[in-house]
Amino acid sequence: MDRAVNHENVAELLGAYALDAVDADEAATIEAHLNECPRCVAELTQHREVAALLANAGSDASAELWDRIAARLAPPGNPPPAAVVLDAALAGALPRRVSERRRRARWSAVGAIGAVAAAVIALLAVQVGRLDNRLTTPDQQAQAALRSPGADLVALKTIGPVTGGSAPTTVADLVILPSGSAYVINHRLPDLGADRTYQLWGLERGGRTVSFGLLGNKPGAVAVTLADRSSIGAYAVTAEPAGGVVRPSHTPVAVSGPQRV
Amino acid sequence: MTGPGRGLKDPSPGPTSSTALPGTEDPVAMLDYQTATDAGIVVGIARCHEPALAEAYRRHGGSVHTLARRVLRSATLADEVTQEVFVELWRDPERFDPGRGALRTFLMTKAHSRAVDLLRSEAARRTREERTVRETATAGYDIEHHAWDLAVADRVKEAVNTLPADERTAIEMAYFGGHTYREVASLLGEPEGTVKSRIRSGLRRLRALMVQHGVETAWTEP
Repeated sequence: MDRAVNHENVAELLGAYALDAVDADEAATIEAHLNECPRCVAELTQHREVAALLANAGSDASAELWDRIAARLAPPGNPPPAAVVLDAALAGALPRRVSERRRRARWSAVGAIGAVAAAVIALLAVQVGRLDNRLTTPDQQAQAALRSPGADLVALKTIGPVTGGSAPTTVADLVILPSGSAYVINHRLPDLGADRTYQLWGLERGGRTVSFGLLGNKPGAVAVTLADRSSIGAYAVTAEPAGGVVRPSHTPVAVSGPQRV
Repeated sequence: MTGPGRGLKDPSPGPTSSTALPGTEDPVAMLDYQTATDAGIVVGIARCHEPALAEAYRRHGGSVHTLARRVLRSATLADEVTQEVFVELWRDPERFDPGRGALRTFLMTKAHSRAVDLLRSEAARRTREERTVRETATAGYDIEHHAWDLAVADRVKEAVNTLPADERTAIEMAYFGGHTYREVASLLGEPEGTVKSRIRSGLRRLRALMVQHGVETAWTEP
């Protein structure tokens, strides 16, 4: 269909669409058009605002109903939402860096991270690439990095329930070279479906979460670049939809211990 | 009944306050959220801070429930929709984009869409026509009784009253009756295109009227 004609047709339907009063096939056409037409998005937003004013509170929200909602927020036995786990991880419940076995360094700012409420997530410039294998396989390059004198080795471990539970197991290693080049070496991360990917995160001491890139659904050794890790308090890996996300939406499958500067 | 709306503001605890008022052990956070913007509340939710969700529920839970009940005509189903809407906000707070309007609009849009889905899935076992007759008979008096806040209720009512009757009827049958515009057209014996246009022009007119009457349509919390 001609684009301008399509716009007019869709625009005519926006009122009905805002009230959920169109048929399914029309809804699909409208939604496709909304992806590329800010004008229609703006009009739809206005219609919805008006509609939202038409229905009233009538009465206060019921306390009994709130109890039922609250009961569904963290069903017993289910893993807690990602942020809670990350905070708990950063609070020092997790193992030390494997490269520094000398003493358990309790990082003093750790507690502060959990307290910081800022959750504005910046997706910093991320460079990800599978290794060029002209000379060696990614695995070999990662192994070489591992033997390099300045390399830091960070174990990424599973997390059990926040309180008690099974002991953490190392499922991947993060090898970081002084240059900021780094490799994620997978040991036991299970393959994901084609529609999902692992994603590496840095947890800043200020409370922000920074994506360090997608690791793919069957990671072996993957090269990543940690542009600036001076503010990173810990690392985490989550399983996400294939395109990746700007903010972790799932409980991490693996996290590191607190990192020192 | 003392809802959280009252309870959270009112220091006198009701009999169920210890369980019904989440986060009472965290009074500082509660105070913060009571004056927080939509975005602030959603940040709190993203940090898994339950009092933030409680505040969202306190502000909008009543409206969400009322809307779902209006569409579904069942308090039980409305309970279900309300729970889904808030649990979903808890699990997926990033779906709310503060740049795209108020939290209230977001929640009401979700609630309406979910209610209509339920209604349409129930259509087979309901006697749709029966409901429809009732709907048509009662269309025309409802919107004015459903303004979300006493402070703006009169202004919304004025705006609604100024709306041409045919636009108002089409909007009511679609929004509160859960009918598609095609169904509305067939019920009213009007051309589909006419009903489609009336809904759109009615909503535009309502917006202009609300602005005229001093209703902030893109209202956000203080």
